[in-house]
Amino acid sequence: MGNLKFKKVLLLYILPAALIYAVFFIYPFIQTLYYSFFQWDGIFAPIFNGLKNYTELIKDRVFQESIVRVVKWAFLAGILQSSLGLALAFLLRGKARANAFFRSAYFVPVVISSAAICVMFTVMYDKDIGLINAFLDLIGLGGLKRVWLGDRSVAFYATIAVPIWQAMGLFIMIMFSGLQSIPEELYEAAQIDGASSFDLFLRITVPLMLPIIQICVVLSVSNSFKNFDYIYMLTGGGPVNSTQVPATFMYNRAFMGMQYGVGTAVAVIICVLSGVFVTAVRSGFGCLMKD
Amino acid sequence: MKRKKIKISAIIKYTLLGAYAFVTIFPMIWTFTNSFRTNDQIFSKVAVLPESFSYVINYEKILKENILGAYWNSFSLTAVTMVLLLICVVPAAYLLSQYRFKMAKWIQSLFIIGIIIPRLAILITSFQNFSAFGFLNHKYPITLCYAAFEIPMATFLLIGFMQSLPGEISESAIIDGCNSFQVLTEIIIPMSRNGIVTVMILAFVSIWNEYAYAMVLLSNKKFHTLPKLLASAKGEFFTDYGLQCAAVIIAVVPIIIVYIFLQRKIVDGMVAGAVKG
Amino acid sequence: MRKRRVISMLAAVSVAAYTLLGCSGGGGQAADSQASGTQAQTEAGSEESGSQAPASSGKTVLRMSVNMTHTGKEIMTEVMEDILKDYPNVELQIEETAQDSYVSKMAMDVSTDNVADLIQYWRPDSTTHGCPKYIENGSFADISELLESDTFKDMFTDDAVANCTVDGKLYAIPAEFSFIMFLANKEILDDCGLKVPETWDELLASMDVLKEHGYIPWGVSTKAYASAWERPLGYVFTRHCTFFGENGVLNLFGGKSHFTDENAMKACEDLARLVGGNCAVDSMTLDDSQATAKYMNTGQACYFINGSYGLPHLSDEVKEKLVAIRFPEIPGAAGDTGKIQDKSLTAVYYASAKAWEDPLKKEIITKFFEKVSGPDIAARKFLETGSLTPVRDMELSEDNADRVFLESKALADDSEQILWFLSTGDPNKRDSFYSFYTELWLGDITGEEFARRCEELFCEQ
Repeated sequence: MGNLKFKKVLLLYILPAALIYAVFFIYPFIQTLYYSFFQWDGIFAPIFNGLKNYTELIKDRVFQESIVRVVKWAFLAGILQSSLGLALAFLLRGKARANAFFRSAYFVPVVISSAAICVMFTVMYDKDIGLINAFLDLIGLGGLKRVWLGDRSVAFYATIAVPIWQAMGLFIMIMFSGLQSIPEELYEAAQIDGASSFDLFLRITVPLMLPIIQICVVLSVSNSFKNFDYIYMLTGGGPVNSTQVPATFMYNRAFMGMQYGVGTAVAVIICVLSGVFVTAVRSGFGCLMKD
Repeated sequence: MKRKKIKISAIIKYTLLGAYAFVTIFPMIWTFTNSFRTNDQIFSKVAVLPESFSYVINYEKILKENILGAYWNSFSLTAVTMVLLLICVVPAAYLLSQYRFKMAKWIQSLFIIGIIIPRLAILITSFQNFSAFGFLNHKYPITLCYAAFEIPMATFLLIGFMQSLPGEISESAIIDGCNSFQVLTEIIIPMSRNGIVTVMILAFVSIWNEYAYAMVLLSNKKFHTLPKLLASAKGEFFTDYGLQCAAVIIAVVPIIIVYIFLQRKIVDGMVAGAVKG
Repeated sequence: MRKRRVISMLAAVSVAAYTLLGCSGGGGQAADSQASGTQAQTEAGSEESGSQAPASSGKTVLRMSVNMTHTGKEIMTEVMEDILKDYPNVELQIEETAQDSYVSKMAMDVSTDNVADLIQYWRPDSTTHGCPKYIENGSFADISELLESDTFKDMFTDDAVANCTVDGKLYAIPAEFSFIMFLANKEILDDCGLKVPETWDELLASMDVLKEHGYIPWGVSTKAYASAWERPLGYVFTRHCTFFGENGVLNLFGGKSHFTDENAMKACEDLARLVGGNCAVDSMTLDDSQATAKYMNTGQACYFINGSYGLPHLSDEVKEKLVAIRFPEIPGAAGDTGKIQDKSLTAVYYASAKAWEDPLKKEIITKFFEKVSGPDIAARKFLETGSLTPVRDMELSEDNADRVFLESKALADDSEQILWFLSTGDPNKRDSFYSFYTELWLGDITGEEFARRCEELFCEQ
């Protein structure tokens, strides 16, 4: 928080945001929350169901596994996207033309819609004509070839690799943007004192970037809980439910099966899970930033 | 001795970066190649160049679907949302990052809730609300939804950027007699240009490719956006992958070209807005 | 400096406000060439919350809702625009929705009482698409009166009309008809020394022989929601349990009878023998189009069993080698014998109840129904898109259709109709079903296990 003195009239600054956000986001969400206690097919009157939607979901083994899976995704995404994003942004922070080229190149996948990326990867992961297997053959690691989206042991990781890879450019951009606020003088002074590149990174960059890193991790984690289109388009829940996540559950129940009560209950569970992890991340970073 | 060391590490660095860049761009090239092929060709062998560039049927089919209209719709909806977003997010982030007051934490948490809610969860209730508000047959009300989606993350991100600004400048400005609006417009906004630009880019990408809400709230053919072009390749019983690739190229290549040209300006904006001493 | 910023802020706000109020600004008009149309619609919209209010300039809006990938889409539009030339006060508003969002869009329209006037959708008995509920809710008009008129009385085949009738009332007009084609690649069979299978035993025996020679028996996708792999199940189960009966396939998968029943068990075991381990190793990652392109068209797989809508996607090369076969009778099976074929309507047209009550719209829609099902349009539709309209006097010959298509159609015409086995089942169960159905096809579970899982899923009591 800043240090300026507060006056009630300043709340006007938050009015447009609060208004639009409340009416078009919070209000529908409360309505959704309401429906999660009902059995509703979208057309006829909802029937009150109490906590039945929730208890049935929690008892469902496939759903339980999907929760474990999405937590794994949140960890992987949170760690990989922020660390690689920061590392790459750091390497590319200079003004050299090469750096600008790389930053643009890495950003290209971000502008492509998820549907298009999934089309690409469906073919890339193919066991016979896919590039991944072709490449493995090329470098002599043919033994690692798999039916990437069909083999239950790797399907999930192959599937989440796609959104994690695609969003990398975004994180690089956010980190790069944040890096600009670090004055060049700090680096120069440290270099004069004999610090190596790695030292610069650890001792200057990371601490100063903690607020941005926190935001990125929150972004990664929350997106992995919400994300469903990649899994839906690549594997549809996967060979024998091995790539199901709560979000695909929600989609299937609400939009394919017209069980909106259950679908919205899943949504609420996703929010709770996501909320728990986001809070954990924020407090973790909060502690780090206090030092 | 030292000079040699630097060179080797630079070579390694750029090789790895280059390899990764190749991995990132190659799918785009491959999609371009596939847009000139049929399903049979795509699935029978890997190819970097299409069998024949003269197979343009995919592009013809896409062009039949009123591309200009789709471009205009995508562009106008995105632009309006971004204006809305600016109006909402910049002042809000300013308030929450520069001022100290008790409610700040609560308001921030309220925005964080928006980050964890899956958008699809509120599609149905949003549709019902739209119907009740009488928005269903109009093009622009969906921008309110889009703005609402982007507000939480954009605010959160911008607060982060603004927090790293040195507080003394604003404090001294207040002492000099500026009111809050002047501090916002003359100090904070110029200094957090990189944050604002970042937030806008994030929002742009998210809205440009938005599909689920557009499909349901904008079903009128006249309001169709670009993501729908992709959908036209996916039928109930058959998917034309070549056609999908063509749709991707048409939707994405202009954006990439615009980005490459604006890239200079965007980066300069980011770098300039940063520290001013 | 300050004033400039304030002014630009205000300008931005007013621009936003202006566009949001839905006034036909630059955006609306530039978006389309039918400027007057937008004008009418925005004015109409701002007067009432519904989307079908008459505009203040006196125009009525006729809303037509179609699936974006419906093959007859362009022809539908043309026919409607042609009819509307005689009605200058009526404006056509086309709503297109993508295939995978159409079910949701329809559900939302029904729940907000905002259904379009003319709708292209799936057939009335399809629970997967919500139709029975919509009919119960009164969203679709009862158009039985059309059958009394001379034009419509004998227009369609009996099967088609039956598929559009619920509780004795006609709710839809048939738009597109398909039948499942069961095809075998003769060249592959010859290469393995096999003759075209005519009996159940020959069919089963061919599976192993094909695999020994390095071919893939079934060129299908075993991914959730694919169409082809569901067909063998329908046939095998119909042979054992009948399709429509009390313990028939529909009731079985609708949870009204049990898989522990002797016939159902036999069906599960026979199905396992027919399909288990007989598909490609990566078939669960491909969808039907991919499987066709990758395995059928490259001559690696022998049997094709998908709808007539799949014909255009078979390459010309492979079509030369394919022959149509009948699904054989299973010796000792207690169900439907004789000639059966999975065939039904894949698209129909509805009129909304509200539109039907409006005399002007009713008149226009009736004309549309008549014109779009007329012989010339039907012929054109077939020629341009390969889509069959189930009208009585459809002229098909080698001139306008493939040999393979004509062969399969002849078999289909000559057979009793069976439908997709989950036509009236609970759409929520599909997901879970596909997960173990894949296992059956991969050969990972036995027929018995499959029966047990089905019982657990469909008949939870």
